[in-house]
Amino acid sequence: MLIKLARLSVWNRRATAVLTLLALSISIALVLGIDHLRNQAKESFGKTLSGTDLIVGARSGSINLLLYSVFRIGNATNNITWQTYQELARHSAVDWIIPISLGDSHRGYRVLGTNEVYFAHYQFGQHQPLVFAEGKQFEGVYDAVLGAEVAQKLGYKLGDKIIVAHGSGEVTLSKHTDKPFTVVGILQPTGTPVDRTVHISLAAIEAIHLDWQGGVQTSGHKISAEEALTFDLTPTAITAMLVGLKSRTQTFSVQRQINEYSEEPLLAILPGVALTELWSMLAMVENLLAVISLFVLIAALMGMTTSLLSAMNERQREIAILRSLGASAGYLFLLVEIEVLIITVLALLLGAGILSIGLVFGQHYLAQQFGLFVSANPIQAYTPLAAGGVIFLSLLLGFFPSFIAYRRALNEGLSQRL
Amino acid sequence: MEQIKNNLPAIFLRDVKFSWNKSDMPLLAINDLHVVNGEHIFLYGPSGSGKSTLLNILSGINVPQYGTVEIFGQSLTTLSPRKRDQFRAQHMGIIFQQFNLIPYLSVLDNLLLRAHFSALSKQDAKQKAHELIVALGLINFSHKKAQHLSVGQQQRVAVARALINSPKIIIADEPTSALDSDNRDVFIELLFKNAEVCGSTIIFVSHDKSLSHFFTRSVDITSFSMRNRSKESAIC
Repeated sequence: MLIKLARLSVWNRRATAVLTLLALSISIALVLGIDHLRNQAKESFGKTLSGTDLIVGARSGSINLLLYSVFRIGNATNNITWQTYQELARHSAVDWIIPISLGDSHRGYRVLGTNEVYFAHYQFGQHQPLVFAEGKQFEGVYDAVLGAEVAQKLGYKLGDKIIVAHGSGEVTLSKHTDKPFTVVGILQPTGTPVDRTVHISLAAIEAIHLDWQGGVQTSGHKISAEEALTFDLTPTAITAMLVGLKSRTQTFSVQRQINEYSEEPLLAILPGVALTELWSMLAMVENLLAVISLFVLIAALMGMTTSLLSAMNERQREIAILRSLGASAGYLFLLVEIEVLIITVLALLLGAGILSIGLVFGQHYLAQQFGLFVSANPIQAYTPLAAGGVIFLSLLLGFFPSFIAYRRALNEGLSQRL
Repeated sequence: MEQIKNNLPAIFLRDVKFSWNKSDMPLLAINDLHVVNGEHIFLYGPSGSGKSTLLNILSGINVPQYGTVEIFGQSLTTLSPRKRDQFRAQHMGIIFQQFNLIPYLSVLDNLLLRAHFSALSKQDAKQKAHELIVALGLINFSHKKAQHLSVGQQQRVAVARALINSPKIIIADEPTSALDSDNRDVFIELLFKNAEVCGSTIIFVSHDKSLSHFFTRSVDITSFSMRNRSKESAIC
């Protein structure tokens, strides 16, 4: 009867109850949503690179190396010589090496010079390899393979010609117009920086820079695309290497050997460690978002308390009637708290529902626009605990209107002031 | 549960003084009030004469600072607040002037709500509710919400609700003031007829002296009240 009474009482004041419910649902959806995106971003961030045991670059900071080699953000301070690459490739513990050569771009997208090992061994997520949506990997010098986003945003299809610009950025760069590339392959979306990358061969990087010196095209003699093919296109330097080892147990000893390499200053980092390190730098933003969403939730809960408090005046009659029937003051306290509980539980369900529906519809957009792959299910292992926390908080705030009901019941007696 | 003894007076008040603060002038002071079991008492007095205070004391909502309040030999002043609430739920039926019912509950649910607070079992409550609904001609709107009834219908439901657990005492606070004279007489007859079945004692409060002929005894509340005008004006 108590629950029925609470239910019908809430329903009786449905106009305010529905608004309160909506405000609370939206804020709960917001809290859950931000938390969900945070988790998913963290997860997909951690999954950017997989299967690689060491990242090797010229000596700088580990975050810097991670940023330019994996996220295509910033630039390398220095290059690695091709000899070093060859030497490391001969190392007994090394299974494979993906060479990476950066520095050029195409309409804002980074161009990455590499070789066939990239398509064979580059992995993301949970050891997912790269898959071609269309076409195949490059074979000729002037072949290019596009990431999913590059192809989609710029509207490229197989056979299109693209021009690579020297340096990175979107405008006013000198372009390698004399040596256009043909799109031979387009990769499937990965949700990683691979989607925003134009892949060409190391030989191509050499070829387009044959007649360049110190960042400008030499004015003297130009080498045409065909002529360039007659040159020895073995690279002299690369930017970084992704190294796969035969056995993971050797990771630390190989890392130490690379870091102590005497021929040139190198830095080898463990991708997992560096990714965690980088993510922890973003923790402040993450925490800020969490705090903001928490405040929104508290504001909504206070809104509920306010609406219940203001309802107390019009409910004086109800309280007097219940008292006359023999309801104790504690019963009235409980009645209001159960109303709070009903609204909160409904808001939790509705909030989770709103978020799930939003995610189902937003999934595609998030993947397209931000390369963020989120699951539609926002429920985590700790979600019930968080829901319990919300209920606890609402009951705590519900204490105020409940206490007023209790005190009214004791003091006002059966008098029914209108 | 406290036992009701029929041979004791239904209501027994002695040397009762009530005020919100101990230092204040008492709002109500009653030297002696005796009501025999089964009596129909008409309690009249102008507004502000302490009627509601007396009703709050009789129903056990408030407790006087001094004096004895006994209902069928059960002292209300010595019971805990919770026990007093239970006692009220068990043995008293209260009818208000107006707005007696929980507006968002159906007629039937209003009756069952009353039974919910008393010791009545669910089965008995349903049966009794049905009997009363039939007896009071409410059968056609037993599932209608109270807020959709006319005032006269609401007062009939209020009577039914007061009677559902066969109370020893029915306290009615200006129950007819919202009714026209025809409905008023019908209401009083209805109340008396149904109260007789249970043998309930009735305390009927009104400022309308013309109703006194229905009752076995009339009591002027101003005869108890210590609030006399000269003293009041002296304070102000």
